[in-house]
Amino acid sequence: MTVLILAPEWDFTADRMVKALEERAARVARVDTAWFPQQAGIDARLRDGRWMGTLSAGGRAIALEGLRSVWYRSPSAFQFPAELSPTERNWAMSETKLGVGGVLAALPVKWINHPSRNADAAYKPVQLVTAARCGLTVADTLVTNLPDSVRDFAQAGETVTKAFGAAAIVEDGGRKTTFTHRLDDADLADLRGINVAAHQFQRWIPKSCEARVIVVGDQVFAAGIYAETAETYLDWRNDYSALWYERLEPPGDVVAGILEYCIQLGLTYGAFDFVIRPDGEWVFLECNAGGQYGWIEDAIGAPITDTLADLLVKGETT
Amino acid sequence: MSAAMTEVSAVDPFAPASAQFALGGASLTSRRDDVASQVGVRPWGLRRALPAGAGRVLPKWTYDPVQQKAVDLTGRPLIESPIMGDPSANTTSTVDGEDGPSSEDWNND
Repeated sequence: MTVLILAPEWDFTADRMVKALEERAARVARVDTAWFPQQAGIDARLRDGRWMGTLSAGGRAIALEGLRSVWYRSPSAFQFPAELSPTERNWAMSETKLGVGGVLAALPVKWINHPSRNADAAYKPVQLVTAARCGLTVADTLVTNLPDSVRDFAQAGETVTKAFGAAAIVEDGGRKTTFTHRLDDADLADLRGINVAAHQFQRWIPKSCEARVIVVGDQVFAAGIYAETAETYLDWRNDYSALWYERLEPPGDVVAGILEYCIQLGLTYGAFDFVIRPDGEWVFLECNAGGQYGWIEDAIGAPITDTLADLLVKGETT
Repeated sequence: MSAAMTEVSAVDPFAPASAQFALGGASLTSRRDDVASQVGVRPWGLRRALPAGAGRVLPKWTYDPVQQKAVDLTGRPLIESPIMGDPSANTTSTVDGEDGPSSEDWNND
């Protein structure tokens, strides 16, 4: 039986996972969906209610019925011939996504995580209500495209804004980032452009530090993230070189809430972010179902890759 | 040129149709040479978007389909190279690495 890793070619954490699985004498096949359709192929037939056949990629013929588990690590978008028109490319992308993606997504194997669960869990408003339902403390939050609503919310207390999704765009020939920002009078005086998209605003939470909590099955690994600059105190993603870490043991009720959250959203893996207030209360910010853990693993010496590898080798669907 | 736009569910190889909210519409991908729209047109949340840092220079590498790892020019897996440091600080900018809406990102978060 084979463990299938779906990951980009450039992914050190996936490299480490290949090594960890080899050390367990597990058969491993790594595929990037960007290889489809030009460097990879699929031959899948519906037999007795399940998809059987072969995934040909990376010089391997991978039997669909021989898969034990799949580790889904943000594989890249399908790559089509450059000569396709945008309309043709769009059509080809949709067909391949629904065809290849559909066959793989239908495989009755252990997924960490199933991409459909990741997609559902990507919505911040869903995350916040799920966290609250699971007993975790959450920040007051506003979702709006109305300037008056922003002013009203900001009037009630110190406010930050952050993106629901990507904190980065590609523009002006390069990559730009837009991290958490604390609203000031100048912001509130000119809210032009609020109406163009949905925006997220949250009450600022005083913090002693932040925490990233990695869940793998029923195992929880927590790292305190300590900022050394004003910028990283506001949003630690501003400068990774201005941070230090230590392993933490989250309170029992937080662990219980986190594990319940994963059950409710069907996640085996999750990267949770919390603020730890000066009074010690943990406040949920978000859960990134496909979030990175490699640098945390190194920083706190947590066996996250090993724990994931054990689950993938075990391969049970429940 | 229009402002950069991304509809990631359109390019995510697996995300289900349900992730495309709303379900119809065009699939737009970011274009490197897009420029910022004028104030009032540009989404307010992008006003503070700043160029990402240059990051560090990565060694030359290729993907080895036999070893199934990134390797240097001698064929040695980069994860065995002491210069690489932590495994996920792997790009030239620092953004958010989640699936779904943020799947374009590729670093630690």
